[in-house]
Amino acid sequence: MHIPLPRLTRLIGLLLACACIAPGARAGGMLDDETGELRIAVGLLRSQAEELALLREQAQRGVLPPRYVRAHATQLEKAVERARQQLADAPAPPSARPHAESAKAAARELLDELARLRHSGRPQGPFTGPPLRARLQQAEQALQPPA
Amino acid sequence: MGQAAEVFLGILTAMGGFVEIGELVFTLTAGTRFGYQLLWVCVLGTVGIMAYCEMAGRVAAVRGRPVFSLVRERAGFAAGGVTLVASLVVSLLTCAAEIGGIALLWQLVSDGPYRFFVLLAFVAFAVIVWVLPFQWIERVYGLGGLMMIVFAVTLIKIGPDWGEVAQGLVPRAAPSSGSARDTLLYAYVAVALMSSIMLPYETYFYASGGIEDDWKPKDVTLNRVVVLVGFALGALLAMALIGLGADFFAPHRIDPQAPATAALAASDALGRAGLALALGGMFFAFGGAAIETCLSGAYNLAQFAGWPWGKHLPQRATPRFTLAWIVLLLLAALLVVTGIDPVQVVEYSIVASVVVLPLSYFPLLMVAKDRRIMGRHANGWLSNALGWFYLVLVTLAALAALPLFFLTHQGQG
Repeated sequence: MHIPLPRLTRLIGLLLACACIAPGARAGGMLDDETGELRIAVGLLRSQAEELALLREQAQRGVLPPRYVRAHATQLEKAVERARQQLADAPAPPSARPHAESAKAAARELLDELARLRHSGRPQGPFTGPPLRARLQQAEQALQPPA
Repeated sequence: MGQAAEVFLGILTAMGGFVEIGELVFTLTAGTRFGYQLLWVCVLGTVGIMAYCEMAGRVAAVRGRPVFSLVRERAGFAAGGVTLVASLVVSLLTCAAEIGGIALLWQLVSDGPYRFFVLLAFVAFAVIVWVLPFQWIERVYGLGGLMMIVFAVTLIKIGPDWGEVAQGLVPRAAPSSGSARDTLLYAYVAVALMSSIMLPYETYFYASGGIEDDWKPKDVTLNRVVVLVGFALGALLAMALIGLGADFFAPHRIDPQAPATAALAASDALGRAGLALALGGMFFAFGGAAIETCLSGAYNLAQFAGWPWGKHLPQRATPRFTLAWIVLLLLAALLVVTGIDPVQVVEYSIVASVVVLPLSYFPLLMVAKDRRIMGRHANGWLSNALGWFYLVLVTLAALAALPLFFLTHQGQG
């Protein structure tokens, strides 16, 4: 049986093109999760706070050399900056604003701590890690849409 | 070199070159978000890439024809041209992500400026590809990538729950926590994970590599053994990364999105030696993939256009091919030097890859199963069955990829 290959290949291409167009047409109707972007930004910050805690803990144990800690802190700082920008750009309905403000404050604390770590290469002084992480976790949970 | 040594080296190279930055990100993400529940996708994707790489290698060995020469011949100029452009975009994005990943690794080791390392990576890889013969590039980076085994050792030291591992091998359509959002995210991560394992450049590069290595019909068995054993071992490494996501990062509530984060698992369990091996393994894995993607783009372009190509020929005999890989490498470096997050580039490259897969696989399957072209080396019933199954699967995945990407906020939740 002769299979017209160019035609079949074009058909696959057409199907794929439809798949590319579909999200644009459907996104408006389906992305009705109004706190979604905010929740994602808070989730990123929560993960970054946990990563900072692990980085500090390994640095304190002497597993990581100071130069490495400085460089990791530099990269993490950039990631937190991006998450903070995402947080600032995310639409926040009135009910979610307190959580957004709490997350913004946590982001500032994270950046301060990362700046200290970037300069010294070793953890200095107490880190308000546990309460900060708990705050972000709480905000993230509060922003979950109802099941 | 004896045949046995060649097979052994080929297997190790295939294993070491299996994981690159996209796979690292998505395997860890899969494990962190869904535990071992997506382990089966790893198996599914690995069998798929085995089936199509084996076909591509066999066609290269028997007919001396690389993938894009077949794409143009079988799909026609217009449809083939679309496939070519799409594959070039995917190669460029993947190469950019790998270069960004390498710059991040160098920054970690030296605490220097990221952008400088991006440009340094461009210069270093341009010199390496220019100077080193094909086999050296393949083996140095493939064997160096074996240092990634440190992640498997880390997982074993943590001690996974083998019962959960076994359950993860059973396919399931939805995650155990059943909200609609979780199901969409589960579907997106599954598609992305499969795409990261079945990256199209791997097939193009593998077939072109067979021709670079001057494979003949007698090498069909070597091709089969290398693909089956090497990729199976590589898949174990990918599965170990899923395990690390599940057993290390999820309990720490960390979504690992960067090489530095991944390295924390190895340093936590194995100290500084673990850290050094993790960074070294990632460097060789990303470096090998950066070189493979830029060469793969140049191979595709040259094969489609009918230009002389190959590292086995002197540069003066392949001017347009040489210019193509240099330009591709340069564009990739320029893309990440803008400051764009390499991990975000990974997301885009993986989604774009899955869309390209059916367009590349279809012509390859048509040739590999054609007895008039392949003679006694044409696909048997198993290769045909796997070929059609995966063609349908990747087409469905390609159709679903973009809607899922948007519906899950670019895979973030």
